[in-house]
Amino acid sequence: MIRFIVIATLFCFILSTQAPMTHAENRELLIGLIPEQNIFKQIERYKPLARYLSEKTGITVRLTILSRYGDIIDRFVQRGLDGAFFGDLTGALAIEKLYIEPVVRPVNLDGSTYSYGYIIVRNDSGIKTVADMKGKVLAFVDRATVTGYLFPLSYFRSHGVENLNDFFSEFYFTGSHDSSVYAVLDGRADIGCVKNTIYNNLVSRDPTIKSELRIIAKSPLMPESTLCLRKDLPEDIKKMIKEVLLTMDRNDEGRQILAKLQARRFIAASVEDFKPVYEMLKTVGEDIETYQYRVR
Amino acid sequence: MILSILILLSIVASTLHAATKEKIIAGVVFSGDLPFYREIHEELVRKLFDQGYDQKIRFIVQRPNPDTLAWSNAIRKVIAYDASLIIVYGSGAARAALYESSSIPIIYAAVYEPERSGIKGKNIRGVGYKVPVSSIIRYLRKTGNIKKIGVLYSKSEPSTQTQYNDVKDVCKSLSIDVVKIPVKRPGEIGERLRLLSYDSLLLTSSALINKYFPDYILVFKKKSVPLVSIMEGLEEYSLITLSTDPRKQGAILAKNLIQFINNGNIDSIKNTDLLKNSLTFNMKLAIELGLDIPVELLTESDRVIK
Repeated sequence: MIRFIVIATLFCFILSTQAPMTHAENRELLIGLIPEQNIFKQIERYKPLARYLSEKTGITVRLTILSRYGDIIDRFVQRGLDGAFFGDLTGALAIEKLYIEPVVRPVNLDGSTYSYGYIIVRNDSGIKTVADMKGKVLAFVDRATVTGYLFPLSYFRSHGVENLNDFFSEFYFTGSHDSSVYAVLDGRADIGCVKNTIYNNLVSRDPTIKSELRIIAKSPLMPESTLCLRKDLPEDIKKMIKEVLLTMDRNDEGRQILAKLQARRFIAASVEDFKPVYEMLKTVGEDIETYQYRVR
Repeated sequence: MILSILILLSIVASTLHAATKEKIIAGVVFSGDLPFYREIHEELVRKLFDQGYDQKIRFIVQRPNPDTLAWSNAIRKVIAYDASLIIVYGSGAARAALYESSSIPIIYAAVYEPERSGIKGKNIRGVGYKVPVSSIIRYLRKTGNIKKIGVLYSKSEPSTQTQYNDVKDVCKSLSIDVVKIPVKRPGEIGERLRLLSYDSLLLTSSALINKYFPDYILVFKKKSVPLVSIMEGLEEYSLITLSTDPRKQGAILAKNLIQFINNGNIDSIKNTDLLKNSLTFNMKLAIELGLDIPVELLTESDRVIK
């Protein structure tokens, strides 16, 4: 509840960075972010990138953070977004429902270009198998994520759990991946779901976390956060943005900003990257056209 | 002769039949008169009523002062009332019940890590809990530079000693010194708080400490250090509280009790360790003490006191 109040107060938080006027004078881009981590950390991570893009392109890049994953689909048009960093499932949903195209996605610090989901428990919980999870409390992230919802759903089904309500004493949505980790660490939930990059980020900042948690299952590879832009944006703008992002690892300033994003560099993204999402949807018997991604 | 034996047998049989129809007498002993235990008991009564079992049991409730002698007296009293079952809340009363009776079935609730705390035996079953002290220390460290944490626990409540050991283990890997603050009587709380040196204080779930700590709050406030707690009830003074949910404890206790009412056998009850905690952050206190306000505490807390 508190989480949502905090998020709600920042609901319309918009960061703007003034850029020196160059060839793209008076132009402005509004880019959306999903609450992959808590909203404060997302601001901290992406603000330097917005400033960098503004400086290099002469286009004022503003960021807006959505309170829930699904909001990025619902509010993309309503808020007049020009693009967004989409997650695995929100990216696939956006490709289907919005007039957008994938532009770039990051290469993680370990060189990987994909991420995957973990199902985690506390080391001292005694939970080793799905059977041990009966009657326990489960923390998903959001219905609009593969690593934080679809994969665990598919995993539990493959282990004979058809009805979550019957099997778990309670399940709920934390809203962000790091919240799911904290819920398990604190004993507010017995089982959590998290994207590996967020898990690794938390562990790198506090190594004690690793010794307290056990990874029960790992998902197939999923696309990393992908910047998608409106298809109808002027070609020169799309090209310029892509160019700046793809080459930012070639200078010190760019590398520092990439480090904040826990990335080595950006690489070109394509619709093909989202294939694993469609496959995961299939395993749980869902269709992207009709999938109910909103948390009710 | 045969006729008189038959008459005697029928009298015995009818008496037994009547007895089984009678209400079960259950002695309930709190480790202290604390809102936390009251909430567990209220939830127990509510659940029994909802499921139509309230007419099958009669409670004799004892809320003794949190000390060894008072717990033993309370247990003896309920035994004298001919209780066929003893229900205990907290490790102090649980240990006293185990000591006073090896034959009457005992069902406990709100005991931290029962096995490790020695709350085990042939005639005892129940619902325990675990609060990861590592989490509370992780959050505490984000509020400031913590180097020396005092742990206030009760020598008479075995679970609170287990909690002290857990804090010690966690702090070892974090290079934080732990100041052991054991108490046996209420007066020792104020004395130790005043004399010892620490830059933060952790209150264990001791009934004695949670009941009497507010009496010494002025002594503690002079130290101007943060307090963290692993039991609901002192959120007004505690910067961070990570506690098990008393309602969940009460609900599982009710389930165990219904099982006992139905088959009269303690062996059928499975020990449960509940891990459903709630987190409270007192932001008002953090500001008063000039501490950092970590984002994680704002976003993760179930309740923020402003």
